[in-house]
Amino acid sequence: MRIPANGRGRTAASLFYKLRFTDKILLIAAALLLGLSLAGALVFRSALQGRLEEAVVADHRALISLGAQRVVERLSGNDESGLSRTLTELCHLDDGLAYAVVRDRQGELLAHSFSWDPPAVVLNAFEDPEPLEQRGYERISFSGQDYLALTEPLLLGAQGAGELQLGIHAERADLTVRQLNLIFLTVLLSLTAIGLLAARHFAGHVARPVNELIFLADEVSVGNLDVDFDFGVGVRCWEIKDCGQTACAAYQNTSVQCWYVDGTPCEGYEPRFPEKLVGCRSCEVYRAHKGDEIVQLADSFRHMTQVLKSSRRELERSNRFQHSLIRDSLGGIIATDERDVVRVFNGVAQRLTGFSEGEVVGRLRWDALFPGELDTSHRRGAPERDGQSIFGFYRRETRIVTKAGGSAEVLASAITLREDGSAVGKVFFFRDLREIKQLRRDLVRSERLAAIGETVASISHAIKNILDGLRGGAYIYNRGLRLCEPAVSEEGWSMVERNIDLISALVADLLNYARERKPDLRREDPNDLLRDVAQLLSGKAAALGVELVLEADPQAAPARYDSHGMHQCLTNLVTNAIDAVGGSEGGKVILAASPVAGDELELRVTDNGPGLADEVQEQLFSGMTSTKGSKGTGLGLLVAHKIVAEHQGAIEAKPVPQGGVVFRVRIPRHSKQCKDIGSIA
Amino acid sequence: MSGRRHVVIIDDEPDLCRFVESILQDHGFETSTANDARTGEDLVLELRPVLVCLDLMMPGRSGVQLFSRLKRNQATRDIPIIMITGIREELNIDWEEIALGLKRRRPDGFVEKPIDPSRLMGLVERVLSGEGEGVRLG
Repeated sequence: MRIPANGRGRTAASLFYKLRFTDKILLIAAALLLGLSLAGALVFRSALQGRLEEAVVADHRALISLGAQRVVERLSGNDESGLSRTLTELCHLDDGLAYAVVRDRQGELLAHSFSWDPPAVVLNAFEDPEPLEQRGYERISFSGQDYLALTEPLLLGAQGAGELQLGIHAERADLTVRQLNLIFLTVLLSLTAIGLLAARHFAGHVARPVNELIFLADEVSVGNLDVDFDFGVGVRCWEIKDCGQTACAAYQNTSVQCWYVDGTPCEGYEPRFPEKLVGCRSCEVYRAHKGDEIVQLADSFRHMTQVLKSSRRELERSNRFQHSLIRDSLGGIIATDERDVVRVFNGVAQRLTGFSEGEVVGRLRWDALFPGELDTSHRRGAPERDGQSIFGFYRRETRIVTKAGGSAEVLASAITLREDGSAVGKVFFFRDLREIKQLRRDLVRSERLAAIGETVASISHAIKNILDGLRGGAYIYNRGLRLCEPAVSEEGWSMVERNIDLISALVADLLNYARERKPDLRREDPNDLLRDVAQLLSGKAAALGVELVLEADPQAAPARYDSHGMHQCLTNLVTNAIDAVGGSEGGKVILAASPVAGDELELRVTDNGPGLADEVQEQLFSGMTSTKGSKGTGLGLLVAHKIVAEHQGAIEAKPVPQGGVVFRVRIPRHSKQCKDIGSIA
Repeated sequence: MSGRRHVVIIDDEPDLCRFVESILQDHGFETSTANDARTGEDLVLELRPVLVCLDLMMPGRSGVQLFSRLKRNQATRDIPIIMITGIREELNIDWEEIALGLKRRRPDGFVEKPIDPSRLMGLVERVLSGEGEGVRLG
């Protein structure tokens, strides 16, 4: 918009722009009509006046010819004295004649009808060099009156003797002109008024949909998208296209244009309105109906509202989904805006704190709920961007304020929401730590109960086996007595002794596992340890056909360990290995020691047995696991694990590529302190 | 082979084998023992005993596997089997599924450790007289 620099023009322009659309049209129409009327009047007057003057002049042509004849007669009779009387008489012949003047060939005044000297304007008229016969008339004014001056040449024979000039009152012609002008102006003003009324009607017709669009735009701007228009009428598309698809959504629907109806086939487009409108606009149905610019504007507006509706539905659906996600989240969620004021406070947060949503949202800042997190040290370690620390933490045990005045333990994480590099809010996710701790306690308790049950079942099973041995031994011993067969009795007694040894070993294992014991660390030679264990179990290995191989390492330097504990540990591992390969052909167990990097001592027990299933290997040291059928309790491995742990070492079991398992025990060579791992009690 | 009734005892624990063997011998049975499933299966196939006492839990091929093999074998499927077991192992085994596959019910009897000689013999007599649990299906 260009505003004129002129102050008055600026004011006029400002006033014009403030006018309503209808008033602007009316103002412009009125100005145009008035201008046209005035211009028409001027043109009319100009053309009419000339014609009327010519008519008046023509009326007096005969008179001036008569006058010229009489003047010539006077001149030819040299009666110059009667010339003035002749002129006066001539003037009396017609009321329209005002004056008469005669001049000779040289232009000298010969006579006139004036009572006084003729005005100069009379004498100066017709001074242009035109031939007299071509002269018409000339309008002159003097003494406040307008006159039409006519001239007629005076001829004496064939020789010019001068000219006669007559003055006619111009008011005769002017009066007629004024009357006609008045009539003309009346007609023009009437036509102007009619034109203005027509313009007003047209402006109203144009402005009504514009005003309605303004109203609708206002409605849309305040969020009311359920607005509609009554521009145009429904399109009878089925008639235009001679279509018989009665299943079509728009068929015989005249309440709305077919391109607004979702699912209507429209130049190959069948989806919802916003997606198909472009295609619809090339359809002959649309082209037949599109109407003037106002209708097209309404169509575009409806298109816009439909798109807005569609977008709003999508947005509402997305909002509902997010709202449900937040509301039904199993954890607490609190979100703030950029001023740290809480904007989201979900159900878990409400239940945990006791605050309602209305008591927190828009009222509290996050630091009123997590006062402990105000300490800047909590931000230590947070990621940085552009050199600025960003608020946030991960899985921090903290406290949230409750409505009752206390606080609840929660496990919380927080992040800063950013948009275009600027922080726009914070989100806190948290779980009720009391619940988590209770779950942990329940889990530990159930695992402990399961472990106790497993342990009791395993031990009772081992004891049952031993009881069978004892009962069997006693039965056989008595049988020998009954049959008087000492050999049978001895066999039975040896069974009793063997099972007494077994139960002793079981009790020893139990005590080793359960007892809180501080290892007696001494500097020992690991090769001696290997030899002692190998010697102890060589008999068992031989009985089961197992080759027990000792691979002592002369380079293995002495190490500090509890010789009794490590002896027990290795004995258990080697016994397991012998049992694993016992009875199978080529069964072999290798017992070895060697120093390893990190100043550790490694003890290895390798067998070539069937190996361990994955599930067995996973829980090898976590429970009473045995692969030895009725003879195993799994307690030996637990004892071995406990002893290694007491030495701050590690034990692992790995499969051997050629078949079998290797148990590796690693302990520090110079351990000074032992770890107290407690007991199972 | 004499005319006495023959029982095969299969258990990885020699002492238990000897104990059961003694009890059965005292009651007029002829016995043979094996300490692993493979040897035991061979013995059963060779001797065709009137009864098998089989330990449920053995390293290597377990008692359950041997039970299935014997019941699938046409030559041994009708030999009654008493499982020597502890409660724990029995509870962890879905005998119905095993028996369904074999078209038989559960083993003919279970004897729980520690073994009571009189209860063992009562069970043996019931099984041999056809009153065991392992009724043939179909």
